[in-house]
Amino acid sequence: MIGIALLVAAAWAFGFRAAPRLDAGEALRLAGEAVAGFAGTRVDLAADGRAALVHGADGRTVLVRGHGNRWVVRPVPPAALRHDAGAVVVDLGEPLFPTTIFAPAAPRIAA
Amino acid sequence: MTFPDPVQFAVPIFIVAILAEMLAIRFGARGDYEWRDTATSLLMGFGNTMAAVVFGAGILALGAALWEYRLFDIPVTAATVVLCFLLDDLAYYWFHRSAHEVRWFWASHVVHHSSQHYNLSTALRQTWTGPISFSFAFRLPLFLIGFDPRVVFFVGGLNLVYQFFVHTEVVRRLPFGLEYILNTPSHHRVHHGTNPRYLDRNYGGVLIVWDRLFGSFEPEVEAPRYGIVRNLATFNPLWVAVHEWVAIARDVIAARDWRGRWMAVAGPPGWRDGSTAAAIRAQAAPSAGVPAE
Repeated sequence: MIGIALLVAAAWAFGFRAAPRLDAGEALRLAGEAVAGFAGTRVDLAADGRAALVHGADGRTVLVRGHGNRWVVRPVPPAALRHDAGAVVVDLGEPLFPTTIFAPAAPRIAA
Repeated sequence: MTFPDPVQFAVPIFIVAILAEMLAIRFGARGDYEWRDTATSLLMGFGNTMAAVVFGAGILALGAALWEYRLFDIPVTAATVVLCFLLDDLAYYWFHRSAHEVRWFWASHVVHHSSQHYNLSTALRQTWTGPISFSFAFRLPLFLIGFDPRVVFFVGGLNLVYQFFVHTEVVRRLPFGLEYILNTPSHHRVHHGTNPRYLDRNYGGVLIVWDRLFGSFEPEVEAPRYGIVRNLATFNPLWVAVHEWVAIARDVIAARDWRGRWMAVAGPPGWRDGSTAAAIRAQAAPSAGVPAE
Protein backbone atom coordinates (compact mmCIF):
# COMPACT_ATOMS: atom_id res chain seq x y z
CA MET A 1 0.00 0.00 0.00
CA ILE A 2 2.94 2.35 0.64
CA GLY A 3 4.15 1.64 -2.88
CA ILE A 4 0.69 2.44 -4.28
CA ALA A 5 0.53 5.72 -2.36
CA LEU A 6 4.03 6.63 -3.52
CA LEU A 7 3.26 5.99 -7.19
CA VAL A 8 -0.10 7.79 -7.14
CA ALA A 9 1.52 10.77 -5.40
CA ALA A 10 4.30 10.71 -7.99
CA ALA A 11 1.79 10.69 -10.85
CA TRP A 12 0.02 13.69 -9.30
CA ALA A 13 3.28 15.51 -8.57
CA PHE A 14 4.59 14.94 -12.10
CA GLY A 15 1.50 16.72 -13.39
CA PHE A 16 -0.48 13.80 -14.78
CA ARG A 17 -3.75 15.45 -13.75
CA ALA A 18 -4.87 17.43 -16.78
CA ALA A 19 -8.56 17.85 -17.62
CA PRO A 20 -8.55 18.76 -21.32
CA ARG A 21 -11.38 20.66 -23.00
CA LEU A 22 -13.21 19.48 -26.07
CA ASP A 23 -13.63 21.38 -29.28
CA ALA A 24 -16.15 20.54 -31.96
CA GLY A 25 -13.69 18.82 -34.24
CA GLU A 26 -12.41 16.62 -31.46
CA ALA A 27 -15.95 15.71 -30.41
CA LEU A 28 -16.84 14.73 -33.97
CA ARG A 29 -13.72 12.62 -34.27
CA LEU A 30 -14.24 10.84 -30.95
CA ALA A 31 -17.89 10.08 -31.70
CA GLY A 32 -17.06 8.75 -35.15
CA GLU A 33 -14.29 6.54 -33.82
CA ALA A 34 -16.32 5.06 -30.99
CA VAL A 35 -19.68 4.47 -32.68
CA ALA A 36 -19.52 2.33 -35.79
CA GLY A 37 -21.10 3.98 -38.82
CA PHE A 38 -21.76 7.28 -37.05
CA ALA A 39 -21.08 10.54 -38.85
CA GLY A 40 -21.66 13.66 -36.77
CA THR A 41 -22.95 16.83 -38.37
CA ARG A 42 -23.58 19.12 -35.40
CA VAL A 43 -22.04 19.56 -31.96
CA ASP A 44 -23.39 21.05 -28.75
CA LEU A 45 -20.50 21.72 -26.40
CA ALA A 46 -20.87 21.99 -22.64
CA ALA A 47 -19.86 25.35 -21.26
CA ASP A 48 -16.85 23.92 -19.45
CA GLY A 49 -15.69 22.01 -22.53
CA ARG A 50 -15.83 18.68 -20.70
CA ALA A 51 -18.73 17.18 -22.63
CA ALA A 52 -20.42 17.35 -26.01
CA LEU A 53 -23.56 16.12 -27.68
CA VAL A 54 -22.84 15.14 -31.25
CA HIS A 55 -25.82 14.92 -33.59
CA GLY A 56 -25.62 12.65 -36.61
CA ALA A 57 -27.16 12.96 -40.05
CA ASP A 58 -29.09 9.76 -39.36
CA GLY A 59 -30.85 11.28 -36.34
CA ARG A 60 -28.68 9.56 -33.74
CA THR A 61 -27.11 11.48 -30.88
CA VAL A 62 -23.81 10.61 -29.21
CA LEU A 63 -22.51 11.85 -25.86
CA VAL A 64 -18.80 12.54 -25.40
CA ARG A 65 -17.87 13.07 -21.76
CA GLY A 66 -14.56 13.73 -20.02
CA HIS A 67 -13.07 11.03 -17.85
CA GLY A 68 -9.74 12.09 -16.39
CA ASN A 69 -7.64 13.10 -19.36
CA ARG A 70 -9.56 10.79 -21.69
CA TRP A 71 -13.13 10.65 -23.04
CA VAL A 72 -16.02 8.25 -22.72
CA VAL A 73 -18.47 8.01 -25.61
CA ARG A 74 -22.03 6.64 -25.61
CA PRO A 75 -24.90 6.63 -28.09
CA VAL A 76 -27.80 8.45 -26.43
CA PRO A 77 -31.25 6.85 -26.77
CA PRO A 78 -34.04 9.46 -27.07
CA ALA A 79 -35.43 8.39 -23.69
CA ALA A 80 -32.15 9.37 -22.00
CA LEU A 81 -32.47 13.00 -23.16
CA ARG A 82 -34.71 15.50 -21.43
CA HIS A 83 -35.06 19.25 -21.23
CA ASP A 84 -35.12 20.88 -17.82
CA ALA A 85 -35.40 24.65 -17.43
CA GLY A 86 -33.71 25.21 -20.74
CA ALA A 87 -30.89 22.81 -20.02
CA VAL A 88 -30.41 19.51 -21.81
CA VAL A 89 -30.00 16.65 -19.36
CA VAL A 90 -28.49 13.33 -20.42
CA ASP A 91 -29.16 10.50 -18.00
CA LEU A 92 -28.15 7.17 -19.49
CA GLY A 93 -29.28 5.17 -16.46
CA GLU A 94 -25.96 3.35 -16.51
CA PRO A 95 -24.44 2.54 -13.11
CA LEU A 96 -21.76 5.04 -12.08
CA PHE A 97 -22.18 7.03 -15.29
CA PRO A 98 -22.80 10.59 -14.12
CA THR A 99 -25.73 12.62 -15.38
CA THR A 100 -24.50 15.22 -17.87
CA ILE A 101 -26.14 18.64 -18.01
CA PHE A 102 -25.77 21.04 -20.90
CA ALA A 103 -26.57 24.51 -19.71
CA PRO A 104 -28.97 26.71 -21.70
CA ALA A 105 -27.66 28.39 -24.80
CA ALA A 106 -24.74 26.07 -25.32
CA PRO A 107 -23.04 27.14 -28.53
CA ARG A 108 -24.22 25.15 -31.52
CA ILE A 109 -21.47 24.44 -33.98
CA ALA A 110 -22.00 23.16 -37.46
CA ALA A 111 -19.45 20.60 -38.60
CA MET B 1 15.48 -27.72 -5.72
CA THR B 2 13.57 -24.62 -4.61
CA PHE B 3 11.83 -22.18 -6.89
CA PRO B 4 11.27 -18.57 -5.81
CA ASP B 5 8.13 -16.61 -6.65
CA PRO B 6 9.38 -14.35 -9.46
CA VAL B 7 6.57 -11.86 -8.89
CA GLN B 8 7.58 -11.25 -5.27
CA PHE B 9 11.13 -10.51 -6.37
CA ALA B 10 9.94 -8.25 -9.16
CA VAL B 11 7.62 -5.96 -7.15
CA PRO B 12 10.37 -3.46 -6.16
CA ILE B 13 11.53 -3.45 -9.79
CA PHE B 14 7.96 -2.73 -10.90
CA ILE B 15 7.80 0.31 -8.62
CA VAL B 16 11.12 1.69 -9.84
CA ALA B 17 10.20 1.00 -13.48
CA ILE B 18 6.87 2.86 -13.17
CA LEU B 19 8.62 5.86 -11.61
CA ALA B 20 11.24 5.76 -14.36
CA GLU B 21 8.54 5.60 -17.05
CA MET B 22 6.71 8.58 -15.53
CA LEU B 23 9.94 10.56 -15.52
CA ALA B 24 10.78 9.55 -19.06
CA ILE B 25 7.34 10.69 -20.24
CA ARG B 26 7.74 13.99 -18.39
CA PHE B 27 11.01 14.48 -20.25
CA GLY B 28 9.40 13.85 -23.62
CA ALA B 29 9.14 10.11 -24.11
CA ARG B 30 5.94 8.80 -25.66
CA GLY B 31 3.18 7.81 -23.25
CA ASP B 32 0.82 9.22 -20.67
CA TYR B 33 -0.45 8.74 -17.13
CA GLU B 34 -3.47 9.99 -15.21
CA TRP B 35 -3.08 9.90 -11.45
CA ARG B 36 -6.58 8.52 -10.68
CA ASP B 37 -6.27 5.96 -13.45
CA THR B 38 -2.94 4.91 -11.96
CA ALA B 39 -4.52 4.65 -8.50
CA THR B 40 -7.25 2.40 -9.88
CA SER B 41 -4.78 0.21 -11.73
CA LEU B 42 -2.60 -0.22 -8.65
CA LEU B 43 -5.58 -0.94 -6.38
CA MET B 44 -6.74 -3.58 -8.85
CA GLY B 45 -3.28 -5.10 -8.68
CA PHE B 46 -3.40 -5.06 -4.89
CA GLY B 47 -6.83 -6.73 -4.89
CA ASN B 48 -5.56 -9.33 -7.34
CA THR B 49 -2.77 -10.17 -4.93
CA MET B 50 -5.28 -10.49 -2.09
CA ALA B 51 -7.44 -12.81 -4.23
CA ALA B 52 -4.34 -14.92 -4.88
CA VAL B 53 -3.74 -15.17 -1.14
CA VAL B 54 -7.34 -16.28 -0.57
CA PHE B 55 -7.60 -18.73 -3.47
CA GLY B 56 -3.94 -19.55 -4.08
CA ALA B 57 -3.70 -22.39 -1.58
CA GLY B 58 -6.70 -24.11 -3.16
CA ILE B 59 -5.29 -23.79 -6.67
CA LEU B 60 -1.92 -25.04 -5.42
CA ALA B 61 -3.61 -28.02 -3.79
CA LEU B 62 -5.60 -28.73 -6.94
CA GLY B 63 -2.43 -28.69 -9.04
CA ALA B 64 -0.66 -31.01 -6.62
CA ALA B 65 -3.67 -33.35 -6.55
CA LEU B 66 -3.80 -33.55 -10.35
CA TRP B 67 -0.06 -34.15 -10.47
CA GLU B 68 -0.68 -37.40 -8.54
CA TYR B 69 -2.46 -38.64 -11.70
CA ARG B 70 0.31 -37.49 -14.06
CA LEU B 71 0.99 -39.21 -17.36
CA PHE B 72 4.78 -38.95 -17.14
CA ASP B 73 7.41 -38.59 -14.44
CA ILE B 74 9.17 -35.49 -15.71
CA PRO B 75 12.42 -34.75 -13.86
CA VAL B 76 13.23 -31.18 -12.84
CA THR B 77 16.09 -30.15 -15.11
CA ALA B 78 16.96 -26.99 -17.00
CA ALA B 79 15.58 -28.53 -20.18
CA THR B 80 12.24 -29.51 -18.64
CA VAL B 81 11.90 -26.09 -17.02
CA VAL B 82 12.35 -24.52 -20.46
CA LEU B 83 9.88 -26.98 -21.97
CA CYS B 84 7.38 -26.22 -19.22
CA PHE B 85 7.87 -22.50 -19.85
CA LEU B 86 7.05 -22.95 -23.54
CA LEU B 87 4.00 -25.12 -22.88
CA ASP B 88 2.80 -22.76 -20.16
CA ASP B 89 3.07 -19.91 -22.67
CA LEU B 90 1.01 -21.95 -25.14
CA ALA B 91 -1.58 -22.59 -22.41
CA TYR B 92 -1.53 -18.87 -21.67
CA TYR B 93 -2.27 -18.12 -25.33
CA TRP B 94 -5.43 -20.24 -25.24
CA PHE B 95 -6.46 -18.90 -21.84
CA HIS B 96 -6.00 -15.38 -23.14
CA ARG B 97 -7.85 -16.04 -26.37
CA SER B 98 -10.76 -17.54 -24.44
CA ALA B 99 -10.65 -14.56 -22.08
CA HIS B 100 -11.48 -12.34 -25.06
CA GLU B 101 -13.86 -14.59 -26.96
CA VAL B 102 -15.96 -16.11 -24.16
CA ARG B 103 -17.82 -13.61 -22.00
CA TRP B 104 -17.54 -15.69 -18.81
CA PHE B 105 -13.76 -15.38 -18.95
CA TRP B 106 -13.93 -11.84 -20.33
CA ALA B 107 -15.85 -10.74 -17.23
CA SER B 108 -12.62 -11.19 -15.29
CA HIS B 109 -10.14 -10.17 -17.94
CA VAL B 110 -11.95 -6.99 -19.00
CA VAL B 111 -10.49 -5.37 -15.88
CA HIS B 112 -7.03 -5.46 -17.42
CA HIS B 113 -8.30 -3.64 -20.52
CA SER B 114 -10.48 -1.12 -18.74
CA SER B 115 -7.91 1.67 -18.67
CA GLN B 116 -7.72 4.08 -21.59
CA HIS B 117 -4.05 4.43 -20.78
CA TYR B 118 -1.25 2.11 -21.75
CA ASN B 119 1.65 2.32 -19.37
CA LEU B 120 3.44 0.10 -16.87
CA SER B 121 0.75 0.70 -14.24
CA THR B 122 -1.80 -0.78 -16.66
CA ALA B 123 0.09 -4.06 -16.43
CA LEU B 124 -0.86 -4.25 -12.76
CA ARG B 125 -4.56 -3.59 -13.41
CA GLN B 126 -5.65 -7.16 -12.83
CA THR B 127 -8.85 -8.95 -12.00
CA TRP B 128 -10.12 -9.75 -8.53
CA THR B 129 -12.38 -12.51 -9.84
CA GLY B 130 -10.05 -14.75 -11.86
CA PRO B 131 -10.51 -17.79 -9.60
CA ILE B 132 -14.31 -17.45 -9.88
CA SER B 133 -14.11 -17.66 -13.67
CA PHE B 134 -11.88 -20.77 -13.39
CA SER B 135 -9.24 -19.16 -15.59
CA PHE B 136 -6.63 -21.36 -13.85
CA ALA B 137 -8.17 -24.39 -15.64
CA PHE B 138 -6.04 -23.69 -18.71
CA ARG B 139 -2.89 -24.46 -16.76
CA LEU B 140 -4.13 -27.74 -15.28
CA PRO B 141 -3.02 -29.96 -18.21
CA LEU B 142 0.59 -29.15 -17.30
CA PHE B 143 0.15 -30.93 -13.97
CA LEU B 144 -1.50 -33.89 -15.66
CA ILE B 145 1.33 -34.14 -18.18
CA GLY B 146 3.65 -34.44 -15.22
CA PHE B 147 5.45 -31.14 -14.73
CA ASP B 148 6.36 -30.55 -11.10
CA PRO B 149 3.82 -28.08 -9.63
CA ARG B 150 6.69 -25.93 -8.29
CA VAL B 151 7.98 -25.59 -11.85
CA VAL B 152 4.54 -24.80 -13.25
CA PHE B 153 4.01 -21.96 -10.78
CA PHE B 154 7.58 -20.73 -11.27
CA VAL B 155 7.31 -20.45 -15.06
CA GLY B 156 3.85 -18.89 -14.69
CA GLY B 157 5.42 -16.21 -12.50
CA LEU B 158 8.18 -15.60 -15.04
CA ASN B 159 5.56 -15.19 -17.74
CA LEU B 160 3.73 -12.57 -15.67
CA VAL B 161 6.92 -10.65 -14.93
CA TYR B 162 7.85 -10.57 -18.62
CA GLN B 163 4.43 -9.25 -19.56
CA PHE B 164 4.72 -6.33 -17.15
CA PHE B 165 7.46 -4.81 -19.30
CA VAL B 166 5.52 -4.88 -22.59
CA HIS B 167 2.94 -2.43 -21.23
CA THR B 168 4.65 0.72 -22.38
CA GLU B 169 4.57 3.24 -25.19
CA VAL B 170 8.12 4.35 -24.48
CA VAL B 171 9.63 1.44 -26.42
CA ARG B 172 8.72 1.50 -30.11
CA ARG B 173 10.24 -1.67 -31.62
CA LEU B 174 12.74 -4.27 -30.38
CA PRO B 175 15.86 -4.93 -32.47
CA PHE B 176 17.51 -8.12 -33.78
CA GLY B 177 14.37 -9.74 -35.16
CA LEU B 178 12.86 -10.08 -31.69
CA GLU B 179 9.59 -8.64 -32.98
CA TYR B 180 9.13 -11.83 -34.98
CA ILE B 181 9.47 -14.13 -31.99
CA LEU B 182 8.49 -12.26 -28.85
CA ASN B 183 5.41 -10.48 -27.65
CA THR B 184 6.77 -6.93 -27.58
CA PRO B 185 5.47 -3.53 -26.50
CA SER B 186 4.42 -2.92 -30.11
CA HIS B 187 2.51 -6.20 -30.43
CA HIS B 188 0.85 -5.75 -27.07
CA ARG B 189 -0.18 -2.17 -27.80
CA VAL B 190 -2.17 -3.67 -30.66
CA HIS B 191 -3.74 -6.11 -28.21
CA HIS B 192 -4.93 -3.22 -26.02
CA GLY B 193 -6.25 -1.23 -28.98
CA THR B 194 -9.96 -0.79 -29.67
CA ASN B 195 -9.35 0.12 -33.31
CA PRO B 196 -11.53 -2.35 -35.24
CA ARG B 197 -8.52 -4.01 -36.87
CA TYR B 198 -6.90 -4.52 -33.46
CA LEU B 199 -9.82 -6.10 -31.59
CA ASP B 200 -9.09 -9.65 -30.39
CA ARG B 201 -5.57 -9.81 -31.75
CA ASN B 202 -2.11 -10.65 -30.36
CA TYR B 203 -2.91 -12.90 -27.42
CA GLY B 204 0.63 -14.16 -26.86
CA GLY B 205 2.21 -13.86 -23.40
CA VAL B 206 5.94 -14.13 -24.01
CA LEU B 207 6.01 -15.53 -27.54
CA ILE B 208 4.12 -13.94 -30.44
CA VAL B 209 4.72 -17.04 -32.56
CA TRP B 210 1.46 -18.55 -31.23
CA ASP B 211 -0.49 -15.70 -32.84
CA ARG B 212 1.38 -16.12 -36.09
CA LEU B 213 0.65 -19.86 -35.91
CA PHE B 214 -3.05 -19.62 -35.00
CA GLY B 215 -3.97 -16.67 -37.20
CA SER B 216 -4.52 -13.95 -34.59
CA PHE B 217 -1.46 -11.78 -35.29
CA GLU B 218 -1.84 -8.13 -36.26
CA PRO B 219 1.09 -5.71 -36.65
CA GLU B 220 0.99 -2.17 -35.30
CA VAL B 221 0.22 -0.05 -38.33
CA GLU B 222 -1.86 2.75 -36.82
CA ALA B 223 -1.88 4.43 -33.41
CA PRO B 224 -3.94 2.30 -30.99
CA ARG B 225 -6.90 3.75 -29.10
CA TYR B 226 -6.67 2.03 -25.76
CA GLY B 227 -9.46 0.74 -23.56
CA ILE B 228 -12.63 -1.24 -24.21
CA VAL B 229 -15.47 -0.81 -26.69
CA ARG B 230 -17.65 0.79 -23.96
CA ASN B 231 -15.14 2.57 -21.78
CA LEU B 232 -15.97 3.01 -18.13
CA ALA B 233 -16.85 6.45 -16.81
CA THR B 234 -15.58 5.83 -13.29
CA PHE B 235 -12.32 5.14 -11.49
CA ASN B 236 -14.19 3.18 -8.77
CA PRO B 237 -12.18 -0.06 -8.30
CA LEU B 238 -15.18 -2.08 -7.13
CA TRP B 239 -17.15 -1.22 -10.26
CA VAL B 240 -14.11 -1.90 -12.42
CA ALA B 241 -13.92 -5.35 -10.80
CA VAL B 242 -17.56 -6.37 -11.16
CA HIS B 243 -19.14 -4.34 -13.96
CA GLU B 244 -19.10 -7.11 -16.56
CA TRP B 245 -20.41 -9.69 -14.07
CA VAL B 246 -23.29 -7.33 -13.34
CA ALA B 247 -23.90 -6.91 -17.07
CA ILE B 248 -23.96 -10.68 -17.54
CA ALA B 249 -26.51 -11.06 -14.75
CA ARG B 250 -28.64 -8.30 -16.25
CA ASP B 251 -28.53 -9.90 -19.71
CA VAL B 252 -29.34 -13.36 -18.37
CA ILE B 253 -32.38 -11.95 -16.60
CA ALA B 254 -33.48 -10.04 -19.68
CA ALA B 255 -32.97 -12.96 -22.09
CA ARG B 256 -36.17 -14.38 -23.59
CA ASP B 257 -35.02 -17.96 -24.00
CA TRP B 258 -32.33 -20.41 -22.96
CA ARG B 259 -30.21 -19.73 -26.00
CA GLY B 260 -30.16 -16.07 -25.06
CA ARG B 261 -29.17 -16.93 -21.50
CA TRP B 262 -26.41 -19.25 -22.68
CA MET B 263 -25.02 -16.69 -25.13
CA ALA B 264 -25.12 -13.99 -22.45
CA VAL B 265 -22.72 -16.12 -20.45
CA ALA B 266 -20.72 -18.14 -22.96
CA GLY B 267 -21.08 -16.17 -26.19
CA PRO B 268 -18.59 -13.56 -27.36
CA PRO B 269 -18.60 -10.21 -25.55
CA GLY B 270 -21.06 -7.87 -27.25
CA TRP B 271 -23.25 -10.69 -28.61
CA ARG B 272 -26.47 -9.22 -27.22
CA ASP B 273 -26.16 -5.76 -28.77
CA GLY B 274 -24.32 -6.78 -31.91
CA SER B 275 -21.02 -5.23 -30.86
CA THR B 276 -18.78 -8.29 -31.05
CA ALA B 277 -15.27 -7.76 -32.35
CA ALA B 278 -16.21 -9.47 -35.61
CA ALA B 279 -19.29 -7.25 -36.06
CA ILE B 280 -17.34 -4.07 -35.34
CA ARG B 281 -14.65 -5.09 -37.78
CA ALA B 282 -17.26 -5.80 -40.44
CA GLN B 283 -18.97 -2.43 -39.92
CA ALA B 284 -15.77 -0.41 -39.86
CA ALA B 285 -14.93 1.67 -42.85
CA PRO B 286 -11.44 1.27 -44.28
CA SER B 287 -9.18 2.57 -41.58
CA ALA B 288 -8.41 6.25 -41.42
CA GLY B 289 -6.32 5.81 -38.29
CA VAL B 290 -3.22 7.73 -37.41
CA PRO B 291 -0.17 5.88 -38.75
CA ALA B 292 2.04 4.31 -36.08
CA GLU B 293 5.58 5.59 -36.00
